[in-house]
Amino acid sequence: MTHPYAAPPGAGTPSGPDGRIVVNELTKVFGGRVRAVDRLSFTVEPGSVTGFLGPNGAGKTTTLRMILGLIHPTGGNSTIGGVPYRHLRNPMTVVGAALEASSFHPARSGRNHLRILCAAAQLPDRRADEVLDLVGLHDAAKRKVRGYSMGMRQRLGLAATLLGNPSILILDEPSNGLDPEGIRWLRGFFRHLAGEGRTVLVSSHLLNEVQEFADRVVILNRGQLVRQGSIAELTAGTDTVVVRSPQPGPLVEALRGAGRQPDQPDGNTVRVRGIEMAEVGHLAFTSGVELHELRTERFDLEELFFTLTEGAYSGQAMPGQQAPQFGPPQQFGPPPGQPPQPGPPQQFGPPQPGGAPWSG
Amino acid sequence: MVGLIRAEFRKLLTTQVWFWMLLLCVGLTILGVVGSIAGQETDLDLALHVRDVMISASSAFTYIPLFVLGVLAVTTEYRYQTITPTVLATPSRWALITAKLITYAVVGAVFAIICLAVQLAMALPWLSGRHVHTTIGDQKGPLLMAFAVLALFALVGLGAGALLKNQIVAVTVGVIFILVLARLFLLIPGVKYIYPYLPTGAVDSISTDPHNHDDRIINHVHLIAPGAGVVVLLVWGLALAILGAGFTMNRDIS
Repeated sequence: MTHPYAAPPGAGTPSGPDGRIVVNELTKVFGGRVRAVDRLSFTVEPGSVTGFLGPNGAGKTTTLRMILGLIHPTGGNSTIGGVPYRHLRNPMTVVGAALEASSFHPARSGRNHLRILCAAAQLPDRRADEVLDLVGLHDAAKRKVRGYSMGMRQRLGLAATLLGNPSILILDEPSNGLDPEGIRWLRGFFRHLAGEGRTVLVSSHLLNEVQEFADRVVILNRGQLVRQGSIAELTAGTDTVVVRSPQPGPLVEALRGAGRQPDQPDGNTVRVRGIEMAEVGHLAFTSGVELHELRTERFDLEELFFTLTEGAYSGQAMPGQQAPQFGPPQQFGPPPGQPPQPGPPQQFGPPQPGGAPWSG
Repeated sequence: MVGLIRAEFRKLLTTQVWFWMLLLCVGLTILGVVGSIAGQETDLDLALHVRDVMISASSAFTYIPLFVLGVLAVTTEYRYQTITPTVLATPSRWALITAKLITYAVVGAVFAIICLAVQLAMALPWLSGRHVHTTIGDQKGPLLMAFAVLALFALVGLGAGALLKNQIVAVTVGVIFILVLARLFLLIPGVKYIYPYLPTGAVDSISTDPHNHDDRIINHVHLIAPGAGVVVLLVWGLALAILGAGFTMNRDIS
């Protein structure tokens, strides 16, 4: 089999120098009333994997469609490698985009769908088979799309993005409709793409997944930028050390003496943010305090997301539509998701010989 | 542009719609030939209406399936949202509509050739059997006119599809306009004079024997010359496609 990423004629080189996506003051108002995106600016650096996050209706899809020239912005602009998408000479060799899992004619085979795109982008037809192999759809290539499961359609969409061997990938909720096996496959797929140095901008609501593969995140709420940066930057200094002790009083005093601001949510528990666990242990030891528990509670992307988009799910207006300042501890209700479950790294690749191919 | 045209051909040939439309066109052509020959009781009557026989491939509503095929060329993209990958591959709506126009001009021409071949294969032996002797060379004019109607109606359909976008609306409104509404114009004083410049009137102008002056006047409205009818159909196809690409197809794809 030809290497799936063998560059076709005219294909862009992955991680090329022009892989920067710049969104500048992008605004979209639908029908003169609905402000879906409001003066949004952010940059996706070449060779990075950026998670594009926000609650439903935050304006993610509208933003991606404006970047791709499908929706005309009311104001502002966006460029890919310094050029608006509409002005790219052969866009599929620069940007691969998958926006929805339903953009297929049901009576057409997956292979024919891709071959049509190959013809339009003047790519060799063999690319269709190569990318079908890559996403594990080789056996279903000649089946009509109406017989594909949602997971298979998602993978066909991803295959289409890779036809032109682009250095930039823009994916809108690629995990929608996937079962856990499919999501695991997708995680490996992203790692594979990131490992090749491609620029990936992916919108997703699976925050724990994004945390595993994204270098950076852009968080959007009600059409406005709430926060952007690396996950490490955004969560720096926000871990909480949790201590359980039968003598919390002396420990609280010791922490205050060290310039910390401990919290005592109940009688035996003390919580303190922005401190190393070892330092708390040392303070307890030097204060002669008995400890029953000492642990660090990671402030992960999911908590950050719900902090920054607080109110989005209850219909509350964001105060003044301002980007909230992230900082001191806040009381959160249980997030509508589970805490991250780090698992073993997944190896991405087509179905292994002898292994059961995932059929999504 | 070559790649875009190849892509359009692949879109057409990778579903079965073209086959069923071709079958319908051939079926209507056969009905047209049967009607135009069997409808003449005497051989003398038939000899006087040989032109009607030779143009029956375009006068038996054979252009309707081609119109629908043209409509589907654009509206199917919106119905199944394949317009998104199509526009991602080809951001220019003008390039896209140009490729579709060229493709469907070729498709219309191929359909027309097939229908005319069926028409001639049936009509020539049948006419001969009824002692009416004619050749393709004698009937070049009517055959060319029939070819033009069939070839151009795919473009009219394409233009209508580009302008209306919604498949059901475009097919329903288009077919009702061509078959019913356009003829109602003939009943409205003042307005009726635009009839020859509507697609239906253009077909009548092309199909009606240019030497039969009585038949070329409908409710005091003079049909235009057959050649002018061809131009009218071409203008309808191009104008609708340009309007569609400039306005409807250029709107947000969300």
